[in-house]
Amino acid sequence: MADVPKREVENVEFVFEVMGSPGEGIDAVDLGDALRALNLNPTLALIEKMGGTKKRNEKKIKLEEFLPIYSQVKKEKEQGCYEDFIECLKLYDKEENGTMLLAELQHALLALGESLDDEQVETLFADCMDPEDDEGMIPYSQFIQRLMSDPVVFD
Amino acid sequence: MLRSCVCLQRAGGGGGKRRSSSVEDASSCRSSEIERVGASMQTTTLGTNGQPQTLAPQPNTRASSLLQLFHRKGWCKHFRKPLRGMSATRVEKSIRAAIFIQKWFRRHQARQEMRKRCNWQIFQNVEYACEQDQAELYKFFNDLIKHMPQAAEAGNKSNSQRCSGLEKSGTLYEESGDMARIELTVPITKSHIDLLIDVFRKKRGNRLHPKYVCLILREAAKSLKQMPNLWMVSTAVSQQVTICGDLHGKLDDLLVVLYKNGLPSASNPYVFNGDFVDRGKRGLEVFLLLLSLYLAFPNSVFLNRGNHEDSVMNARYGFIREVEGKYPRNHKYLLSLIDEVYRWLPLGSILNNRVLIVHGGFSDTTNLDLIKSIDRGKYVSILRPPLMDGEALDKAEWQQIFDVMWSDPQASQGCKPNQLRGAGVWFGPDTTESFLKRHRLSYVIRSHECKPNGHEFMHDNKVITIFSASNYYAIGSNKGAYMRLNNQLVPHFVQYISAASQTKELSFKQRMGIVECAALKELAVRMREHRDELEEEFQKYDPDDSGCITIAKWCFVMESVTKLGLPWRLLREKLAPGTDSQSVNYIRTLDLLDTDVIMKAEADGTSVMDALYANKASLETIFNIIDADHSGEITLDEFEKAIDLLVAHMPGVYSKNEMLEKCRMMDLNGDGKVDLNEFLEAFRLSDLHRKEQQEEYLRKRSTTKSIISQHPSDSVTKLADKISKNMVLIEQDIDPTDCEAKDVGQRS
Repeated sequence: MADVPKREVENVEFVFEVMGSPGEGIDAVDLGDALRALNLNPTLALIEKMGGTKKRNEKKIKLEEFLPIYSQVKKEKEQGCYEDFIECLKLYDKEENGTMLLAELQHALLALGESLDDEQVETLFADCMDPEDDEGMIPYSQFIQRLMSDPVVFD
Repeated sequence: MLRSCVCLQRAGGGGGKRRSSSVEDASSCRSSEIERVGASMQTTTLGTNGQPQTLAPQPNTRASSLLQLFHRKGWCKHFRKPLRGMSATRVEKSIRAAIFIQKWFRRHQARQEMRKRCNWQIFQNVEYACEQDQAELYKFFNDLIKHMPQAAEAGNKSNSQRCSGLEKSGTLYEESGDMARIELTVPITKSHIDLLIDVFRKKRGNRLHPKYVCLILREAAKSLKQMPNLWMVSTAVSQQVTICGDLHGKLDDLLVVLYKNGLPSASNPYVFNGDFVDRGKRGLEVFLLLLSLYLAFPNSVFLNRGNHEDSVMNARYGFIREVEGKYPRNHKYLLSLIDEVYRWLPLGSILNNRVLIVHGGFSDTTNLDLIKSIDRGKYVSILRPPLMDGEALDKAEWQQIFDVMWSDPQASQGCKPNQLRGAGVWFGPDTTESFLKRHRLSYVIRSHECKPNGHEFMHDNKVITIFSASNYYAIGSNKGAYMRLNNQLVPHFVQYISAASQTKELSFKQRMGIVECAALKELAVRMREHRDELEEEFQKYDPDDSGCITIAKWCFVMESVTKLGLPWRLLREKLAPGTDSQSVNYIRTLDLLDTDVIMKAEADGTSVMDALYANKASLETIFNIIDADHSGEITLDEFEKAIDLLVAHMPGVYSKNEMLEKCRMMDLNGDGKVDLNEFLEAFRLSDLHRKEQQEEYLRKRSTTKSIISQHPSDSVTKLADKISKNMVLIEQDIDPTDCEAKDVGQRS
């Protein structure tokens, strides 16, 4: 806890105010969302490792328990930056013109990694994606920019 | 290239779109590459330890996996064989890429969730802070009575109020403008209901002739007067029952419920759990329709009183203004009839002797036997002392009613006064348990609080909140819901949003934007009450007059002045737009409050004082309490004592001296005494004076800009613009089929 700067502790307190109930802290099922609201980007696996639950009302996490979790997740290096990611998507960019097939991206998100479900993919595309052109292609760099450029909750 | 490769099919088959992977150049086709490497490669994925690990090779043949993917919603017009055959590094990279997007997406979602919860908190806290002001009246009266002990003993002489509007018939005046051409007669029947619904749902010509409004109100009051304090509801005949929560003037939601769930009948009974009016624009229609349903289906419709079935609340929250606007020549008489209905509305329902249905909740002292036995007719408004008729005021009894109408459940144990609302209690799971045990009940259904999904379970499923007004705070802010119970009283919910087509096309982000704008507007209007205090406090921490202070100080000032308990750090960017990340430009906050849109919104609202003074009955009550010996006059000394208390309870009221001065001016014959009329006149003039002062102040403000800033910054102007252009529901004929209803089945 000593290594969490005071300003960030204040941020954590505010998140707890919004997401949790006083005295009891937050529900462990919200652990991921709380970390994300604080500008961290943990994977689902990491959240589970840190004590996140899948169902509500199973476990509560108090502020003092949360702070070490926060500082550890913060140390995770594998954030990945914009360039890394563009490089990966270039694999799908056959014409090398900055576009890829929407359906391929969709498939990747639905089938690979910590997959999303159909509804989430729909929401994601509605918010961040330009509509596909006649050939089903989308400009992926813009998509990534929009995804990453969400106004920060805290700075 | 493989024959079964999609690329080939695409090019070969007629009508398919040409993809960029050209048929001629087979080597560029990904799927051919996959096939070339061979089907012997196993699928790999990143395991939980971050290391690639192999999964068992998929047992499906290529053909059936093709089929599988085709079945998936038909999106896959051009699928790629998942992983099989791709080189390991490519696989790794793809997975890394997918995880990357997924992480960021979840973060995107989480931020949206935070915004949503933040907005919710704003709405709720501002709403409750306003209600708190109303509850101050209750406390003021309590204090007044405490300090005028003769009043408590001798009782309140207001016999004239007892003689209800039912007996006196008032004269009705013709109203100008469109009037619906329907006729109602007694008894009200189902065909009248169909007529009423048809009339009310129109955008224009939806006003009944005042004589029919009177008809419905009188008949309802006459009938309700015969009913006990608690309805006894049973599913013996119907085998089921439907319960609706707060409607708050949302006629479209009521029509959605009736459309989806059918009109009431012996086999389809309904309980409506209070708060039919205020806030929404169609409160009168909702109220009249509900009363008509009650008159048409008397054993199948049960109406519970809510805390908004109260003229003091209506003065503040818009219902009185609605009636005044719709019937400018008859509103006084109509409102007196509405008061009659209110006082005779039962306080709750008991279902199958097992479930209690009340508007708010209960406290650790709630006693249903006591509630069953009181004379509820004397509580015309529950924020004013009951009519006494020579009896002593029973404060414990008054409190019982309050607790049932205003309380909220809380997660933690215990039972304590509800500071947020200012009246009633917060009751914990232990209170619930002992209450249920004491009264041998299984669970409680209540309303009173808006919930994102229209309903919520608490206290180990023993307390269910049901809220039926969708889009309550703003378009898209929440769903409404109604619940159906079967014969075993197992609940089942239907959620809906009315006027869904107006929000369907919006993306989540856009919906969020609308709610957020509406929340900011409410918050800004509330903050305006403290505008000068805020300026003073900010300047205290800015000795160099730079216009900026630290974030921590800004948050501190905001909370200490407004006491709204909001997450100010999260709101900082909105309330001080365009500010950087190290400090806050508080000038922007003040500028935002001074923008036209906010000032206009403030002028449109009503303050507590407006409500008090507009409510002649309240003033009369005050007078009658002070005039303990019923002489018809009060001395200035007695009045002074009352003023002390008024000043202590009402924020923003003018000084005691000002009020006394007014009173002295009113003592025309100079004998040191004031009668009721002079008393009322004194208040009226004081109120007039206050309004004049306010207008003067606003005028001054708009002509001379504050010394600190001459022009609001661009970001402030932009935000104000956004707020004023914020999307609101377009008013049109109500179409109850235009709803997004979802059955959520049993306990979710």
